[in-house]
Amino acid sequence: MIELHQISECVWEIPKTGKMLVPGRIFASAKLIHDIRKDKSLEQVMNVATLPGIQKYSIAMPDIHWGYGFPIGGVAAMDVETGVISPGGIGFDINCGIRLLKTPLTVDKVKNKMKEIVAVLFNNIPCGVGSEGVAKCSTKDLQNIVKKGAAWAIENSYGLPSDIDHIEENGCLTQASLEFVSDRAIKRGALQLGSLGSGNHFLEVGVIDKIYNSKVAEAFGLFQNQITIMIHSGSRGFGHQICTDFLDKMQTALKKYEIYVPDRQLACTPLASDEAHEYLSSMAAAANFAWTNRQVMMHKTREVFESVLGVSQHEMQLLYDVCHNIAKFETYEIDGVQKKLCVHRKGATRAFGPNVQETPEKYRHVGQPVIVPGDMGRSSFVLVGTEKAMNQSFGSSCHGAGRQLSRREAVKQAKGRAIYRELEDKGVYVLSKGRHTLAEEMPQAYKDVETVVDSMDIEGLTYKVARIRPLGCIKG
Amino acid sequence: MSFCVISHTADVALDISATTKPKLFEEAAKGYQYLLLENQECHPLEDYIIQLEGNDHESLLVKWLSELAYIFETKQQIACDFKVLALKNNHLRAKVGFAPYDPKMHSIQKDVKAVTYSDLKIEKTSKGFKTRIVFDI
Repeated sequence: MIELHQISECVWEIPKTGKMLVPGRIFASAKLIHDIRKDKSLEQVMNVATLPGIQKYSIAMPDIHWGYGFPIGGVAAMDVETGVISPGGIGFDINCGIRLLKTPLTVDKVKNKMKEIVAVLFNNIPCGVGSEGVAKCSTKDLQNIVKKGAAWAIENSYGLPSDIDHIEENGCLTQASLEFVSDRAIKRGALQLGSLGSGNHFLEVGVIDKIYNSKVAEAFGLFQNQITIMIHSGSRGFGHQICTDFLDKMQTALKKYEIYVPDRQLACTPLASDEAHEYLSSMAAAANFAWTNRQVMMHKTREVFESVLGVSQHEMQLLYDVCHNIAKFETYEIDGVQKKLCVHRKGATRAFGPNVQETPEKYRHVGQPVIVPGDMGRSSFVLVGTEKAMNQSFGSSCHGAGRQLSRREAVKQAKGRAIYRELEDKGVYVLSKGRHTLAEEMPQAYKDVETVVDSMDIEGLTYKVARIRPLGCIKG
Repeated sequence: MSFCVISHTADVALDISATTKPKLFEEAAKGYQYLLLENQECHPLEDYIIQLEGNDHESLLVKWLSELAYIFETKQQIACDFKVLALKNNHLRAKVGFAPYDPKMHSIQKDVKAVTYSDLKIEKTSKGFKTRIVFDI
């Protein structure tokens, strides 16, 4: 059994052993740790701790679970001079992320129309295996999408100009380029702009049923009984192909730069190398595609709400869009010195505290909104970043509930049950494309997200602002 | 020779074994096809020759399965018959029979988005070779 030392109520440390360069640090309650021990995720935390240039800790969030290479819920910050970039530490779905759209509507205005809303959303927003997007684009379009990110969508009438101010990095990483992106990735991307995809991606209509912090909720424009929409998706086949291509290149880089990794999925290259430059510009291209993808789907969602409920598109404002599979260059204090680091977040959300320049001006006095989806049957949360997260977790928080059942086990446990009916009995209308999707994604397949966000709250890395109860959901 | 689906918290893995390495690659492809279709029928209509280069057999295995996933996503062709014609240290040549994907006939069971290198090792056993491969789904 992996040795774990409890540092405080929700902080645990794996001591530095073997080839680990830093200790592991897990933010989770004792109950969550008991479950986390059941899979190989802690071993993966230790593997990440061996990567060259890693600073302070190999970190895991309370929603940590067994991934490939990095654990899902992992954070690793690398020194830009001595460290590496690992495409597996960002994942295949580059800039998989989530956004929350606010409406002026309250639950009493929509509860009798939920079935219709879900059906119209399902018909208007492509989802499912290999689904083609609503906004097919040419290679020329893709060049502009990569260059401009979400702004491309707004220029092409998919959204409001103000949306840009409410997206991490304003929806565009400036180092993005198609120069090192394969034709295969371009082909996959061109087909899929404006589509949810499958797996755990979703679009969910919900209602705020609890406000924890009225001052922050007010700053975020959130109120009791408010109808909201969450959109969770990423860079689709474009990002997947970029990661696949660069994982292959990194296998060669391991030999070239004589880097040892305990798992080939962690294959990496020095941040100062040409290979890193090529990957980072391509990763940024996929990130910009993902922001555009979510922007296009949000526009379609606004159209649906306008047509079904008569609410003006301008009245539906974006709270924020966060990415949870990404590498970012950020500056943190290490041993009393300000250092530029490359922060890998694989299933973790940036959670900047108050008075940080990167946070939108209207939220800067309270901190960055952090959106944490739960499951289809229970709840999701809006949190706010804190100063403590900047010191303890490289400005990071959790990204979801985290799976507790494998997809196979979930399907087994769902056998003979009508999950859609169980959800409908709870007042949640769900439509999905895939035969096993609802079983694989049923609420019991996930940890209770409230226990996850509470672990962060107890340690003061993020604070709860509002809870959202699901009303309707579409899935691939 | 066999493949076996293994539970993985977020994704899915296959345990594969075979008497020879070329057969291991064929079994892995059958396992991929199983993830896609389970036991639904699939009859190849056209054969294609696939040639791939890689650093070693593990990277060739990832590329081999990634190639089949790419062809499914972009050409809507399901790989359903496999014959490895040559396997060297850094080269694979195989004949693959494809059937067109028809949503009326085929219900896709798992959307295989990518093939990972996670803990990937091809190991020699007393009966041949074995490996475990994790898919991103």
